[in-house]
Amino acid sequence: MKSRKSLGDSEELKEINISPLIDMVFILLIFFIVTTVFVEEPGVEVQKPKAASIKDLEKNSILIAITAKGEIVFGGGQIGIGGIRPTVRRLCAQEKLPVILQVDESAPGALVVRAIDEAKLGKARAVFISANPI
Amino acid sequence: MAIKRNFASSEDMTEINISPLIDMVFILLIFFIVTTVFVEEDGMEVSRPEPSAVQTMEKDSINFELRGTQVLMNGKNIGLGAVRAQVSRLIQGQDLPVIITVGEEASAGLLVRVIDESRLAGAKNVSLAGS
Repeated sequence: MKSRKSLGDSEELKEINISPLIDMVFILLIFFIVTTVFVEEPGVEVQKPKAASIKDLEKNSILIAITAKGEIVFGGGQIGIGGIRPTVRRLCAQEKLPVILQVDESAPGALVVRAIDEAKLGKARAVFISANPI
Repeated sequence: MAIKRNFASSEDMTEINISPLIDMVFILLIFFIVTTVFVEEDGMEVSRPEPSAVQTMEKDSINFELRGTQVLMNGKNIGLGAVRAQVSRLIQGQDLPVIITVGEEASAGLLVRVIDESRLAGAKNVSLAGS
């Protein structure tokens, strides 16, 4: 009955010491506060093109998707080619953000070029095309 | 001496009750765990030609034209595989800009691949032009 005896011993403690738990929770909290960026995702699935000369992009940026059918999607809704410039201008009013285009492999190339133009005219800091590593 | 008396009476409590604080911290923690998304975006920068570059477009740059699935250079279809060889032959350590003219029919996948091949061949300045 060794376990019984040790249970009896622990009854002398009135409370469990929870300060290490709280310390850990605070550390987790700080980690999540620091790493969270509130980025609005387009919300459509696109088949990204593959490329070798790619680099990691900034997390805090404006994500705009162009689907295979040529729809331009931002924040869960279609905005159309004419909607890029006002959207980018509104979001870049306080701080200049980069724009990331999530382009489908079979999207029309001319539309992509026009979208880059519109984003530049909306005063985006830089324009990137999202791609997967090979 | 109201303040002093208060201090004296509060000394009866051995600990401050921190459970509401912990509850709040837990709620904040859950909020941040739920809202965090770890987006890993990889990609390449694209740019449009400078107005000054358009004037010298003819001689001091490498021009490609995308038409359908074809990659044209000086009007000849060279195909995607020859892009890297052509760019590295012409560039030879200089900082020549590569200008890609995108036709209506070309797909974004081909466009990205041509940009990629030019970058791999050592071109630093790759820009796009509409047709």
